[in-house]
Amino acid sequence: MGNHPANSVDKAKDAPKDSGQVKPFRIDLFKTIPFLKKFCKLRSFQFLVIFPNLVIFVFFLYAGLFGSRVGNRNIIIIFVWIFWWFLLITFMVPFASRVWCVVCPFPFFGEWFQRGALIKVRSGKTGGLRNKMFGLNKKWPKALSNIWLQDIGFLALCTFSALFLTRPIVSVIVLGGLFVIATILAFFYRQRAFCMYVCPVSGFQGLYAMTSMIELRAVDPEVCRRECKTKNCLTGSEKGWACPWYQYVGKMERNNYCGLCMECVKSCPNDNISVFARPFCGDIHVKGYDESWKAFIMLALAMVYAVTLLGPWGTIKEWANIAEVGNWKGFGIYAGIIWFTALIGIPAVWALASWLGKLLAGDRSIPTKEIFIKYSYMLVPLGLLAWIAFSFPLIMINGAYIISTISDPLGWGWDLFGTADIPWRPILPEYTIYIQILLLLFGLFFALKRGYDVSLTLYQDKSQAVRSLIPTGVVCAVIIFAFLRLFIG
Amino acid sequence: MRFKEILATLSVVVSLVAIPVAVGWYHNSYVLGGHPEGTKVITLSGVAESGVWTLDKVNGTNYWWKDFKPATIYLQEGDKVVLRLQSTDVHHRFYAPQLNIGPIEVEPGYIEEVHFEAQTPGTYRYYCTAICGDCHFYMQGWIVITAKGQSPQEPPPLKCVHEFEQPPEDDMVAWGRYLYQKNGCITCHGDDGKGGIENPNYAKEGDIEDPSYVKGSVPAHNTIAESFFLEEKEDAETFVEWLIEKQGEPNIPPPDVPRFFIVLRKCEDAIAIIREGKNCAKADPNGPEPPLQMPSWEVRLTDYDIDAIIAYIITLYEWEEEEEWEEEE
Repeated sequence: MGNHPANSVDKAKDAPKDSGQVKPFRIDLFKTIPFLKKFCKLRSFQFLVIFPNLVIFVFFLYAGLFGSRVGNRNIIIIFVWIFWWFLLITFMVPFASRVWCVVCPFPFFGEWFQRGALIKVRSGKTGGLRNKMFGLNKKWPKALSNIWLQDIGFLALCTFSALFLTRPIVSVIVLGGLFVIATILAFFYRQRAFCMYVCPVSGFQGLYAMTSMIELRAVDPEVCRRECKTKNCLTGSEKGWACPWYQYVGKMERNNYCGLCMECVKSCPNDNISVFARPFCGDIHVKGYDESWKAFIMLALAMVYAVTLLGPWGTIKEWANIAEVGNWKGFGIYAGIIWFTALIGIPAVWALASWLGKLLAGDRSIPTKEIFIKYSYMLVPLGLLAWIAFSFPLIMINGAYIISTISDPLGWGWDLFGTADIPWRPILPEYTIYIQILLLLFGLFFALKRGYDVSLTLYQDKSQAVRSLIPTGVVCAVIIFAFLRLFIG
Repeated sequence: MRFKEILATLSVVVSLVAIPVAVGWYHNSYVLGGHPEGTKVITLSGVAESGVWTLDKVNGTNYWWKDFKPATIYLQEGDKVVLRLQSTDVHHRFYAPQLNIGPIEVEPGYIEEVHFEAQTPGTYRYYCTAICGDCHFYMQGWIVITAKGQSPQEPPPLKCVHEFEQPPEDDMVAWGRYLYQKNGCITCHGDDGKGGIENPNYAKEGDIEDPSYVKGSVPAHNTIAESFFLEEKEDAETFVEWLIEKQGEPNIPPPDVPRFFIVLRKCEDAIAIIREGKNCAKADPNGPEPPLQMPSWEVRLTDYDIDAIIAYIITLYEWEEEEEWEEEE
């Protein structure tokens, strides 16, 4: 089980065994850019960043409902599934952690209800918190206090991606459904239970945020340990809401479950929290099977999508495209391949590689389970870069649609910026493959490099560490080779 | 803080209301309303599933369940019209040859605008001339232009029927009738193959190399028995029986039908037309295409299907009831 909040209010006392981070280079962005700190400390910060996005989101839903039902002429398809996805996976997550969660409109109404306010803070008592909150404020069930729901939810959604990637109304149902679920859950469960345990987007963002080049952390964890008795970042204060993600910054060692809402920055009595720039892949510890399987699922989906959307096999495209073709048997095979690869195939290979690694290391004291989980971190940079390599051609092929739909977002014949009728043309298609090759090799490099860092946390002897890494390293190399083979042809 | 809170709340409420209002206002004022005053702006949406050009609003909320109505467009003589054509699904082609509109390619999701003036009163047919689905041949409608002060005629709309009763496939004639209806043959060749469907811009005989297929209207099918030289009802029945029998046994002997090999040759010609299609010639080589063309059915119909259709249309001939006539005499 991962570093799960629900439990983190209760378990905040448990000190981490190691930092789980590649240390120590980092730049305090609040010091370097004072305006950033000033902005993040504004009481209205969250509202100011979410509200414009909410307006855009509602407009997208409106476009999905009443605009053209032709996918490439409707802004909800082009901007959400092509433009947003590309920005999210290529820039937001690797460079800015869970910055999307800061602006995400899904929890807006639920959080408004819970707080009874959009800007101000209510002091008071709710459970162990120092804020007055509305709703039932129940604790999320312990059995579900992990990211398994997100794992399965994302896998299920992606199985039907051909539907919502092409049909605006289905996108409305999916996005609107998540919006409604987020709101309803907020009535019953405390704070952002939806974001923590249910949101399918949140799950992979958390995992891949470990690679991010920024982090929110205590400036000096010793100050938290020695001087802070109130833990206001976790429990709230008259200056800031209790952490919606149930995180105690004093012991926070990974990006996974920090939504960057900046409430802790406001409520910290010691002004001891900041946002830092750091090297790529700063957090290196995967904790729990749920997180490992998230890595497997993401990698499997990147592979299946690359084969389906970028590969030359028409039959697989036909299987995936259940809405247009209606080949249920083919779709069953397609879905079966996705689920088997993600939940059984890759994990089985990984388990075998981990076991071989243990044999090669010659140290029986480290359980295979630990090797399996910890080395699954290698699939984090690998999977992320595979996703970016997959997403790049999509944006380069469909970029023209972005420019045209911004002028005619509903497909109603508007021409707001004079670009509605620009002809479709791929952007620099001749360079796509070189970008993909670089990205994939970069992913493999970081998989191996950080894998080595992880191995050193398991084995004190360097040669043992390297030997234990060989089988999983080979698996990573084979995966990247397969991607290269597919993309290069 | 209290002021900020109220301002934030108001911003949320106002923007949620403002989005649909702003969209509607912009669309009506600047997109539809951006034409000279008095212009009639008509949006026609092509829907392949229903086989219609419709005036209904089509979007994701209703496309999958609504049975859209085919549009009849009523205009007054002298009306200035902007026709906004859009496809909600697949590629369509709008064509109203008698009004000199089109053919206009209408790509999914794009709007094509046509400007014209309603000049001569009359009832004009428009079509989709790009094969777009099972209901393609039903995708026709009317533009009715009425002289000022007169009431418009109301031409009968043509509607695609999805649910035809499907007979057993081995009942060859019934199967042919089913295919004839389901595939929309009746939209051009008329109910029960009676013909009479006008095909504007027809060529006159002698203008082209092969005038046999050029008619003022689409060829009728209820006279096919006659054009096959099947002179007696019994001959027609025998030939149809032979068609049925040869399905399981291709080498059966010829039936006892006079001039059988001429009949067979005619039948094979008809089969070739169904299989390969045949274009109607243009009256004026520089003029517009005739809207109705015989498409190729090679991909969509099997040999058995085509034989079944032939068998069915042979039975459409209205034979004279000689015995009854003799009795009356």
